Amino acid sequence: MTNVMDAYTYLDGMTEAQILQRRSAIIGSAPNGDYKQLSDEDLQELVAIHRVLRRKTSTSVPRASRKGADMVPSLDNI
Amino acid sequence: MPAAILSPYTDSTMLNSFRSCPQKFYNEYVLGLRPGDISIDLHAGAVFSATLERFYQEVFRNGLDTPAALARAFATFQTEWGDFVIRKEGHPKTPENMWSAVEDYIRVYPPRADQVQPYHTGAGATFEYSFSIPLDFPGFPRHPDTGDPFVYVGRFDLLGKRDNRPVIRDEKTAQRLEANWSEKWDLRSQFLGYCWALQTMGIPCNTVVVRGVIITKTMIRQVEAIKIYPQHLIDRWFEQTKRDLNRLVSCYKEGYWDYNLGDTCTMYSHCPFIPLCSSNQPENWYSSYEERRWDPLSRIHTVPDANSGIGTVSHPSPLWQGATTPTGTASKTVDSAAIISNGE
Repeated sequence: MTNVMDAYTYLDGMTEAQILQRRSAIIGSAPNGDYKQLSDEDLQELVAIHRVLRRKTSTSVPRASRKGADMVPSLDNI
Repeated sequence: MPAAILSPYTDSTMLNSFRSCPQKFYNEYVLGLRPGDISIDLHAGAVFSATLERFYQEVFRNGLDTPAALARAFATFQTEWGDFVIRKEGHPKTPENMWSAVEDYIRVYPPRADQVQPYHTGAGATFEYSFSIPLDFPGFPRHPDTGDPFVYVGRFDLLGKRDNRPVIRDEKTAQRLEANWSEKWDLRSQFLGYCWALQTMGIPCNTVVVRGVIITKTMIRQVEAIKIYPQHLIDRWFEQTKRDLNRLVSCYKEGYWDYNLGDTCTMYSHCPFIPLCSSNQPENWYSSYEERRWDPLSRIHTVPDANSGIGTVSHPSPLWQGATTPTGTASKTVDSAAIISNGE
């Protein structure tokens, strides 16, 4: 299975502000802001951005004892 | 004053409302009154369903792998969420959390390995499934204005098969996992009605896979209950529906809708029509509500057509047929949790 996150590892090296800027740029490229007009690649990058942002803004500590717990759902384990 | 319109279409939501309080049914479904705010729970649930439907279409119809299908589902998610603003502060069903819930659902139930696979009909794999069945059976009332039979309609998330048997799958998003979550579906008329409808259409189904998607501020959790409904319960639903519709028509003809004046008034953060029921002149309160009529076919509230004064709804076609849209034994078999966080 394709590991989408591998394609977007550069996002991990970006600051939150840079990621938000990147997200705005992608959304802004869609005619009339219509997400359905975005390419599959753009949409995959947006999904990756969502995950990276969630990880970066996370301050919660996962309860390790919880069965099946995952800090952030990842395409790696989908 | 809003027009009093008794819809010829009825569904489990409407019938449950009537059962709980005929006056509430009258205000909401005959007058079409709704409080100004759209429920975040309804909105988030609808977005979740639409997103998963798109995902399954991409996987099973277009043959995409999970990441690619998920990306296209993301477009649907964003479009369906639109500019909806959550007015309740601290509500967990934020768009960020709801999307994480979609991802977590797919992680827990990978589409190709899911025990519930889409059911295949002549039209191909089925996903979200709609039906509309005229209640043209002995003992059922006719619509008092048209003389036509009422039409029972419904829509669920997936007509699937499990162990080669047809099953209904329905997702329920919630903010907490109640202790009796699994048991609460044991007598669920919504599901009994789905089974009756499928059986009426020649699909021998008595099983519903209920998937709970629990979304709290800090965690997403997936739970599942499999409900097998014995035939006598499905028959009981049919008989009860007949009785309820007869009572409903009696209320309509009499022009009097009974009041519950009990727990129904205070359940779920209180009934929105308490001001009406408390007032000696309820019509003075009508302007504080919006007129949005429930369309049981699309399961959304529609704004009335300015010209006709009637909600703009699409009508089912063909009758007697289920359709896929493009667009009791309790057992908890899955219970996983994914922590989500918003920096809280």
